[in-house]
Amino acid sequence: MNSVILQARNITKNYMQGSTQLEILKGIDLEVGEGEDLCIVGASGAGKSTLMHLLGTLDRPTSGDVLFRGQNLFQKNEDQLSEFRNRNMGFVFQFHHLLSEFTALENVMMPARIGNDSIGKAKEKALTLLDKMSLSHRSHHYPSELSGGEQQRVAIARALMNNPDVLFADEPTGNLDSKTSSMIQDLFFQLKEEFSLTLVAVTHDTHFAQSFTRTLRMEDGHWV
Amino acid sequence: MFKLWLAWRYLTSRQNRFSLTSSLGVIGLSIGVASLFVSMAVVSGYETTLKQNIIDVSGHLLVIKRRAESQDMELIREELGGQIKEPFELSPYIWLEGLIAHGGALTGIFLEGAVHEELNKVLNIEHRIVEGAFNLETQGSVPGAIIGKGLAQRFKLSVGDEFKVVIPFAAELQTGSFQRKIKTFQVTGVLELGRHEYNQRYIMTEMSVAKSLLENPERISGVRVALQNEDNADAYKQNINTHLGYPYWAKSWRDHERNIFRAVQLEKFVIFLVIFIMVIAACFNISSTLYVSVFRRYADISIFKSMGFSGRQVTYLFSLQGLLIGFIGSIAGLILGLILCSLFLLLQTWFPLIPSETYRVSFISVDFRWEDICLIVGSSMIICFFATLFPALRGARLNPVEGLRYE
Repeated sequence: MNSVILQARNITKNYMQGSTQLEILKGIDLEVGEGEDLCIVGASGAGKSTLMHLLGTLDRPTSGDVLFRGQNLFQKNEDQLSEFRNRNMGFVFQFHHLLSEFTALENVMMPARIGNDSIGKAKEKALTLLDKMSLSHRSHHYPSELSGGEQQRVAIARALMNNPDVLFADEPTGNLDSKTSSMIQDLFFQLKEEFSLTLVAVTHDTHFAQSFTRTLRMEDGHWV
Repeated sequence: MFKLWLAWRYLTSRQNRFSLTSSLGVIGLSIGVASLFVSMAVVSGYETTLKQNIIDVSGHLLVIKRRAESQDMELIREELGGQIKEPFELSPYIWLEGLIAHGGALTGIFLEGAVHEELNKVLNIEHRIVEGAFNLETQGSVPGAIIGKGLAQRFKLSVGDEFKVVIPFAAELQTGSFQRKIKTFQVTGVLELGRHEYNQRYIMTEMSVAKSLLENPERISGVRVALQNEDNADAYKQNINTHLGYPYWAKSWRDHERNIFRAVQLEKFVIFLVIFIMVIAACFNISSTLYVSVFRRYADISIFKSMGFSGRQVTYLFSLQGLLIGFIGSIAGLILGLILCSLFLLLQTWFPLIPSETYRVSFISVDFRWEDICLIVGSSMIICFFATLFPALRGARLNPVEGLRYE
């Protein structure tokens, strides 16, 4: 394996539901190498999305550490963590989660603008990415005017905007028909090579999971 | 700038183009700001009108010198020059109190004697003529006089009419007795003096004519003074009364209605506080709109956080939206206030809205002062900011994971 880019050490995550404490993750260890493509599979409620959120620093674990190139991420304060996420992490979600009040181009530009890039620079990069996704003719359309596949391609373009080191994909094809799903799956691997990405995906789709070099199965909050 | 753009886009996006609740928030704030603006403009306008009426008719400073005579003018100028530290103009005047007798009726009057050419250097009275002309010249054998509007109405006097003035003065040898001098005048003009008491009692004539009604025809009552800056009048008055003292005695324009000026300042403060409560209520309306907006945009907040927005930046984004609503509401309120002020001015020309016996003035102008506008907009924005801070902080605390879970 290449050098480790992302490492989880004995991660637990508990939630309170009423007076009951739910243990979602029960001491997870994980190492992801630079440029690796990893797929996490498991039944609904197994804790795979929760783990992905913790690896992507969208949430904090109850205990345990997440290290990025050896650096403990949760020792950073919120501002530092936000900046880190902006520069190093890209996310693609099942429900694309585009900002409905902004055009495709504006959605793609957003991470660069949050990272204080100039409008000109962000626009140029965003247009290139949309072109790569064969969506340049749709750049001024709003998400509601795009098909499911187009929305997801815009979301992928947005995730790649700041050249992240790690791309997280949470059920990226869960909401698409089989043809579009297959096209998006191919796109992921093509982009992984082109952008030298580390790819961490969560999916139910066994066909998609088989395309990954490494697959891990999760059940009831731990690896099986 | 990026966050301002984002906030603006959220407020004006085609899917949210000022939803009904945001619009109601803006309207509520506009009404509050407009009420504040109009009340401040009218109270300031009343103060300015009263001040201008006093200054137009009485000058910036009135300096009385006991037993002064016409030939003392150079000495007076020199002595006052030692106390008034800026260029100034002087005009001598004679002030007499007497009675007007016309058409079988009598009433008390003030008769002022002035030199027409010098008068214009210190007073701004000529534009107040509403009938006839500003002419103090003697017409044939009868001297001309300009009288107040109220006096003209009460005695049914018009230009060309004649009336008699009786001036009593104490008999030198017989204490308890008095003598009188009677003079006939012809009305050459009618003045709108701006103040009720003056309109009802004021008569102005040529200095030489007024002198003929005095025991000592060389005596003058004092001088009216025009300064470069009327705000210095109180300081110079103090200088004259303290350093020159008897036989000098000075009165500033403010002294003519000092109690009213004080009352107006207090009223302005109280009115501001009372109406400002309306603005506060309107700001909380905006706050509730933003609370709804924060929960409606839970997913968006989560996406922004996944793209690198910190909680602080989320707070900033929503506070900016609140401030933008506050700013738009304030500007709309100022525009509405301007319209209401214009209506108020127009209504005053159509109907006698202001009873001059009560308010001393018969017409109130509106005065838009920068300090009032800055205070209104500034305080509204500050309240709006605090009212929107709480929903914004709530937005910042939302867990992004929850917002991303569902479509």
